[in-house]
Amino acid sequence: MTNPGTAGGRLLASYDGADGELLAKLFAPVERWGWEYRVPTSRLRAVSPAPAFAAPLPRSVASVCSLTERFSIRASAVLAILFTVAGIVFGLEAASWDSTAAAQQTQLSQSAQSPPPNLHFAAWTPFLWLAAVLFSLWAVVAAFISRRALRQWMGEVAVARQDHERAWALWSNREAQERRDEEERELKQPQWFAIRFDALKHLDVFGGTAEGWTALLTSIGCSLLGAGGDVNLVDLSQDDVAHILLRAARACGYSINELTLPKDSVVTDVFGTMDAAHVADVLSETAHGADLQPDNTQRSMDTRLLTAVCGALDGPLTVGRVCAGLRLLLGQEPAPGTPGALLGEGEYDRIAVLFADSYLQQAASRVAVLESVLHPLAVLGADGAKPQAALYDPHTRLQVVRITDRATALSAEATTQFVLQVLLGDVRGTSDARRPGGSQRTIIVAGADDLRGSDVERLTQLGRRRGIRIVLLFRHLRGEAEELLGASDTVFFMRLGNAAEAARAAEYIGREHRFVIHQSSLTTTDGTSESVNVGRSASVGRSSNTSRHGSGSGRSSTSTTSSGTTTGESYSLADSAARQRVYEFAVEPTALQSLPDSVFVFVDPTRPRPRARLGNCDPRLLGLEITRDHPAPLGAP
Amino acid sequence: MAAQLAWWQTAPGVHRRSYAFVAFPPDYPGDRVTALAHASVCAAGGWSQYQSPDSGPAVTGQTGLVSWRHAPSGAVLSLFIVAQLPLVAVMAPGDLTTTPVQAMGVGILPGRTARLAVRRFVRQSSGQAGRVILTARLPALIAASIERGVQSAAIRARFAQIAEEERLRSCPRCTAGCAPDTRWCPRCEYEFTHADDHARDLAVMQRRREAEGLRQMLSQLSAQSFPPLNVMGWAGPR
Repeated sequence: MTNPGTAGGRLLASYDGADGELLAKLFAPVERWGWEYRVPTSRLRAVSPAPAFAAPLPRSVASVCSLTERFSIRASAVLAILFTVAGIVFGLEAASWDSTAAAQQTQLSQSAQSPPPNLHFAAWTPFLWLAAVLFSLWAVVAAFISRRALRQWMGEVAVARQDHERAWALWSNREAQERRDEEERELKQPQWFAIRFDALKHLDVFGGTAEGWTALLTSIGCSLLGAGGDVNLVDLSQDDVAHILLRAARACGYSINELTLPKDSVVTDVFGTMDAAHVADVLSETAHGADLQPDNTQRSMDTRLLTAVCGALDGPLTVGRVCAGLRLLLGQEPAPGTPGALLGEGEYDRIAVLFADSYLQQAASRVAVLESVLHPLAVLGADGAKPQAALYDPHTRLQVVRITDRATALSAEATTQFVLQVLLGDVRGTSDARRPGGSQRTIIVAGADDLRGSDVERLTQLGRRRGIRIVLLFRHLRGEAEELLGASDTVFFMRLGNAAEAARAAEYIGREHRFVIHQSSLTTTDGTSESVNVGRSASVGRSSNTSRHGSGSGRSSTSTTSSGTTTGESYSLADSAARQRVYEFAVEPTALQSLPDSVFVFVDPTRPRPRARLGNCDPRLLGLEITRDHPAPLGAP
Repeated sequence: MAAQLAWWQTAPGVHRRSYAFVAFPPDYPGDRVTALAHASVCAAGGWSQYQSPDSGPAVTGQTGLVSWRHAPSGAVLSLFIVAQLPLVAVMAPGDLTTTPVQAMGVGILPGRTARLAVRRFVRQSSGQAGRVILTARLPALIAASIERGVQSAAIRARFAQIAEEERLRSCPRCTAGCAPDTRWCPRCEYEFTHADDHARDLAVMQRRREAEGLRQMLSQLSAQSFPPLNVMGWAGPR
């Protein structure tokens, strides 16, 4: 399986937004929330038997060679005997001729009718010689014939061997080709299918790295923009996770409103068209955003003070001028016209008479606290001379507000609360999320860990009421984020390095019954045994008979001894395994701890089981042939 | 069989013969036979392994072929395997790697050097579980070996098919091939039920029984191919 998620972050860093083909696919007019992995299916392959070597049968060799072998194997011995006998006979004959030649002549003349006795042996000598010669000749011919038959068979074997080698090579190549084809078919099967949700209102993402979030925001953001929606991205992660999305959207010509805080603080039109009461509410909530224990009394007093001050100020309102009004209540603001004065004469006069001295004496501590808390935000929109960029511009398709790591901790916290409250105020003031063109607005908050749980709940509730989709990215699954787990329609779990957080995620995903092998045994026996059986049996019989003619007796005995040797080779293999039904995590925590950057496990309660599915959000998946931009088809192929 | 020979017959040894047919047990690997032959042939000086330029590598492993050349006399000996069940090795003069067999020396004069090398091989083989085969029994032995080889190939193919079947299980809904231990079909998301798992386990058991039966058949084929000594058709080593 190709898993681009492992190196996704590194390659995303070098992503070129000018890649036209990839951009066109990223901004295709379909909504997708990443890609879901489907295991490729396999096909049963028919295995054909290997060709067996069939040597030609050596029938001629057997018939000829065995015959000649029988009679020629000891031809030398037979020839030796024949020649020896012939030699002896010839010797005897020669001796007889030498010693008795004259006598034989006389005897021959006297008794011409009967031949001499040694001539009887001599008559056999040529026959013996002839037999020896014929036998030798026949042995040579037979050996020649047999060798020729053997040579012919060996030639046939050589041809058969070459044929077999060719057949084997063909079979082997065919089998290898079939295996390769099947592997190729499996590899070419679509494995990544677009994730779509029919009625998604709220998505929570837990865990993940900066690179993973970058990939997620790129794939999701581009898809939403391509489908005609608007995206409001609040990047509180301080990791600049939206930079690729911005580059891609800019390359495709989408209208973008990008604000980086605190860099763009002085030129930010923070309140836009909000009225004084709305601004006071935003600032009050900002001041109390970090409260661990909400105090409604203090909040009411703060809201009362801020509403009065904001109402007394002329537009456009800025945080700095509101702080100046608060300082005026404390008698700390310089008079109009003096250096450093932010208020006009009219505003000065109106604020000076807002509250009685007795009330201010009671509220002075709250005024001081409010001014201190809001003071880090005073730079927002401070330079009214420059063109102001709205914090939320309804006329742009992609709005990105990000807080960089250049802000101090206190400033970043206050800015975060402020941005959220402005966002809430904006959502609250929205009557319908759908624009005239039918576009869907989506608010994405990256780094929602810093937000208060109640604010998150309020944001999601407002989103549901106004038809705005809310996507929250939490770095960790702990604290208030853990309490929010399950409130969304769908949950993505990216890499969760912390073991406790991974365990919580695994617990949420759930357990399932499965059968696992809990006992396995393998027994092999291999050896040779030999047993010797020796049996001995003996029987003794005795018989006797008595009659009138006499009596007789007999005795017989039988003894039998048998012996035998049995040799055997044995080899056996026993493999057994027992399964046990267990109830275990569907996804082990360790798996969540080791997910690649762009890979996630998601839970979609609206779909039938399996509950946990594997997804990937690396945009580069679109460049692979195994990726489809439609959901996985269900049912029969 | 040896006891049935007449006085003028020899056991099927290599007395004054320049070729030999030797059978080895089926579990005796061809490489070992080759090594044995190499050691016995090269025990005398002058012999060295010879690779004909026309001979390709024996990719099948079923028709092992090695040749040696005796440098002083120019004699060439070849060892080749003509059967597998049992493993029958033939050692004869000549170069079998060339086709047609041009350099086959059996029809000319193999010479004493080759005969002695063959005799050494037979003696070494007899000491290593090898058995010299009667020439008269060779066709029947090879025919039986071919038949066993075909059966063995079919059994091994069935083994491979069983392994292939154990790798997958079919989805009852869409017939896709799924991993045997998966819980959901990757194509149609059908959840395999307990009954499906039970059927899978039964099929696995059935396949294992079949595999065991096939294993026994292979053992029987091997045992039949190399029966104990003094069975009809076999002779003891000379």
